[in-house]
Amino acid sequence: MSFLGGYQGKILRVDLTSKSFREEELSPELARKFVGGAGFGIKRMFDEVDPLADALSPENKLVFAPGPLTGTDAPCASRMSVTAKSPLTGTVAVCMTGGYFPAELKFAGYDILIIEGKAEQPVYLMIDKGRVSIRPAKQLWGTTTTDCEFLLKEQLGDQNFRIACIGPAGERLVRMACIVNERRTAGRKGLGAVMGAKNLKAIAVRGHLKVPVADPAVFAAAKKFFFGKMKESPALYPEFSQHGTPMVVDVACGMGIFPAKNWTATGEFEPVDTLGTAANAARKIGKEHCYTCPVACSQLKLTDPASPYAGAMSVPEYETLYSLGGQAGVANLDSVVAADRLCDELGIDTISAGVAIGFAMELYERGVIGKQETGGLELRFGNHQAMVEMIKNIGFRRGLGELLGEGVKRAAERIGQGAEQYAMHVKGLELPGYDVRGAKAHGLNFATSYNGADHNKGYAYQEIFGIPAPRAVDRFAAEGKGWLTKWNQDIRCVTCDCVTMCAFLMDMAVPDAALENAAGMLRGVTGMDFTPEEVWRVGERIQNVARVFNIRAGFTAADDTLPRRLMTEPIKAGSSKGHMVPPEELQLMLAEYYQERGWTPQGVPTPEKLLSLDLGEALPYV
Amino acid sequence: MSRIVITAVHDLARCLGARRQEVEIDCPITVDALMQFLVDRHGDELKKKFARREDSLWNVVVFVNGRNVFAGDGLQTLVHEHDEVLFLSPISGG
Repeated sequence: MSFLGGYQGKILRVDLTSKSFREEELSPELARKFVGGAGFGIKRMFDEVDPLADALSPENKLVFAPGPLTGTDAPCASRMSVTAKSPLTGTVAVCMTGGYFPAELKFAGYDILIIEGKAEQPVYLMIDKGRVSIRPAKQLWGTTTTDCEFLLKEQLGDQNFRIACIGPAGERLVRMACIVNERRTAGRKGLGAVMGAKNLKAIAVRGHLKVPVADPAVFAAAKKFFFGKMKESPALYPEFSQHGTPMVVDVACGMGIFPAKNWTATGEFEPVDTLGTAANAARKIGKEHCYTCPVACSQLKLTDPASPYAGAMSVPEYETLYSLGGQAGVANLDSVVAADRLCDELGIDTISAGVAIGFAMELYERGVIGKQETGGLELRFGNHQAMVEMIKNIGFRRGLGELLGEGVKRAAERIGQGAEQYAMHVKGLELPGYDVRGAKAHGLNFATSYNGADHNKGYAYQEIFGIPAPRAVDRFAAEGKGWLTKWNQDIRCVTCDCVTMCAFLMDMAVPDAALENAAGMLRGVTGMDFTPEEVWRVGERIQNVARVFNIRAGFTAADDTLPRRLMTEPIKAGSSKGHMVPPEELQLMLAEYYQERGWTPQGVPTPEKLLSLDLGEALPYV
Repeated sequence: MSRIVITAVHDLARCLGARRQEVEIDCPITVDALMQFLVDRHGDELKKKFARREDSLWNVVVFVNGRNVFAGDGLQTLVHEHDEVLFLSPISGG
């Protein structure tokens, strides 16, 4: 069977050890059962990688996978997944990224790019109109991400290449290193270190093919439906298009869930005036689009010329305003912009970096560490100069930065002296910017997400923004959150991460019709007869495959938990004052969640559940 | 007269003239009546923001003391003295 549309029908497999590559056929069964993006990535990991392998060894693989919509003219479908076993969490890990690289990979003719093995010396991979080559990267090694992109385009003599690369942090195997493609990133879980461990500095891709569409009339109707929903949204064009995710600072503070000072000052430290919408608008100098996106939520900010950080430009998203702002007790937007740019240049995840630095700040203020450990830095909350220095130390693995770059879980274990109680992570992944003591389903998602505390894998927009789809919920209640979390994880996974479409816009445009929207798009582009029910089953199937991978890697229900602070210390002030997630409440939610998933009380998928999802290949592991 | 706190974000805050303000009003009052009171005070732009469409999502989400009123009694939710009412547009992102 050949594909009618949506897919190019080809996988490119590159073995860096033998410096060889080959093309493989994309299986129609894989496309039907896993759709694309995260589905392709997780299934390839399940089939090909030993879950017990060292994430930084040649046995790990790096899988880049756009979706069937990527490269078409569907709106907001610029996305691609990057999947590997995470060196930070030890779980299977998926990062989603946008921009232009994903579409270019499709134009080059590939639905999946698999990188395996390890090069002897630093190399880069070039894919250009059917030609593939592995080339020395000696001149690129050591460069920051922007310089790498600039130099590589110069070397190739073609400014039209799209580049994904790592910075100095990825080269040094910093466990929170990211992969940067232009100003977008596969940011979390240390996938930049996996790339660095393979001695792969960059991937340059250029294509010339079109992505076929199976049924243009059905596809046009699906696009019209989505465009109509986008225009109906009361917030998308009037506000979000102009301000982007920094708007969430205002909301999170209004809801009393903006975490601050390593989660000790939620509700007390609410820097709306200095880090919120208006402050960001005052620094805005432009905006950027991803491929086929009519919204352009990326807002370019330039620091104040009078600031010590004059001349720095970046796109600080909400999560960065939390991690390099509130989490570190920093209310100075210029320093956040500069720190954000520094992280991008070094190739570091801003969330993990900020949380690790906030963690160290609390240790410093409590006297657990001192100037001897910080290299003389006065590492107190609010000291943005110290924060910026520590980011450099993380990126170059210097002093305390070397330890923090391992992530707060490992750092706390090495520091000892009770430091673990201040380490804000789940399964080793530092917490994103929502104090889930005031958003229980979001907390349950942090606890159960297949790659640790990941807000993007089951975002409870019903709690954070009050969006009443599929139903309005009480964010403080525990009851019903097992069902809701399963729904959010399944639907987000397939409709956003596999199809692939931008999650932000899906939440605002079609929260009440995500499955119908995805099914319509898939019918149009692939010609396959997807129903909303089948689309949902794809999402559920992927969650189960990821769960079984993690069980094989040694994870159990005991890992489905939250940091102790969130279970024992109530929020002290603000709109969520007095709330927390006591252990018995978390257990209640987990029991409901496992039951809704058809898993045992120990969180293991049952054989019946796996068979109902056509996952016979997973049976030997449960 | 009783005092309640009104908080709003983004465009709604602009329409209401402040992100956070105290308002004097007879309590208890339903959310519906409170919204009408605010429209009468602040005019047509706020009225447009508060408008609801039968075939779409709410234009505005309302929380009383941190709880989404649409998970309970909806616009008939009662607001009492010293309560905090939050209005926000249904955005997303993160």
